[in-house]
Amino acid sequence: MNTLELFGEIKDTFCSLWKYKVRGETIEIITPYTTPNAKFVSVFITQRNDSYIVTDGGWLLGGEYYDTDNIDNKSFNSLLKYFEAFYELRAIDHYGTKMFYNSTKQPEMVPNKVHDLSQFISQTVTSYASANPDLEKNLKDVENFRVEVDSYIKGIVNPESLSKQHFVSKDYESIRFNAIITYGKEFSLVKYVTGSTFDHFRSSITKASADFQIINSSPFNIAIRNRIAVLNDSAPGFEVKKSQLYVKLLEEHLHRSVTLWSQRDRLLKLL
Amino acid sequence: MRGIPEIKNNFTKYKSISYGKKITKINPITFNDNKPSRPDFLYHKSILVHTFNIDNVQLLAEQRKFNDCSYKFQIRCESFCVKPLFRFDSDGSTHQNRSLPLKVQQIPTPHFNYFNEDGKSVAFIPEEIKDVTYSDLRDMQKYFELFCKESYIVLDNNSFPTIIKGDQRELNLDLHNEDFLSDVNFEI
Repeated sequence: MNTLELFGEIKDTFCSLWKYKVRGETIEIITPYTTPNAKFVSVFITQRNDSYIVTDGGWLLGGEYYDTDNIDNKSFNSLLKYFEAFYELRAIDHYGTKMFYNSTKQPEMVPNKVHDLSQFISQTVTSYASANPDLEKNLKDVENFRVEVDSYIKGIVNPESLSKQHFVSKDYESIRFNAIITYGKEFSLVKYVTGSTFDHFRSSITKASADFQIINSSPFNIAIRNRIAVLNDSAPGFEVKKSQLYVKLLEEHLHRSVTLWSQRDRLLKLL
Repeated sequence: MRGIPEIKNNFTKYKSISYGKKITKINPITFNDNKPSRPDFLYHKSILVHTFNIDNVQLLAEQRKFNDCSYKFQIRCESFCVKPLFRFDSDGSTHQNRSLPLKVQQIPTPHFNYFNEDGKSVAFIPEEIKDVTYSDLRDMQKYFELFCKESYIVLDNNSFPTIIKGDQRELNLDLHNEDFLSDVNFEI
């Protein structure tokens, strides 16, 4: 094949990647645009009066381009704002899921809208995935550690002393603890620290330091019996040397050492 | 795209969970729950008993409330891997089989997904679903049985379990299988 024939082959291949499915009055266009999760982007075209509507059909935020339930749509917000404005899209709610769309009355402008919306979907998913590497794994690890420590704590404290809420008071609602154990007017606060990479670990331990610091400077400080941080020392993100400074900072706010998960029997004395 | 390390490094375990015999004690399978993250989906989750005693192998099924041609079945084992290990999607996005020539990379739905020995996700369309039309998908039992056959899910007596679709009429939602945008009032 000479180079000009190769060009023909490339063009034919790319053209063959445009496919469609008829869905009543709507047509789904399967485009050659892709996402990092090995999906081809689809857009939907439908008509209202004399306007052509091009939409993602709710698939972007509906989870069609990634296969986990753990994605927090809130984390998409800043990206969405940027791309939504850039491509001048509008949004409408459809059974609780946001649907993005644009429209035109001119048939010759429909390809522009298809191009913009496909780029929008592909770029949003790609930006999200590159900004959050290993996010799914970390969410799962955090959840697994939470379940494990919760069940250990439930086994050693009086069930009635375990508070159902995870914050100290409404005024400090954003300062959340994994467990709050009450003893009459006093209580102990427990935070779990883990992470599947050092960055995730660092953000978990830094958050714990900040939350203890804030609560220590609140009026509730006098009622706190013990400040406890359970640190997952078998987490892949826990690197002893790199973590040292962060552990030291956290311990300053705890007024005691962190509790390593491998030495969890020490919780028996603290709770 | 890199493969999933858990699967790549433990491929024998992956195959055992995905294709080894799994028994469901629940029959018929029904959609009793709303999916927490998606109010427009009905949801089923149950434990499958694996003959090699692998923990926490789960069967998940989801169905779109206003479209009974749109559903998915999955096998998950979250202690092993966060991704669904084997799945069927009746509807939804087209998969990209990246190792193939670009011309034939698109695998539209309905399709199955599994992981290969490199831990990469691959979609395939078995003979039984090659020529199905969208309205054929209303026969959920037929495709559920195919899913159970491909992933070896059976009852104690080795027959395939039954699945019962969620009843949309109770939910006061009109079915609009063909055109899911028909009731959307786009502002123009």
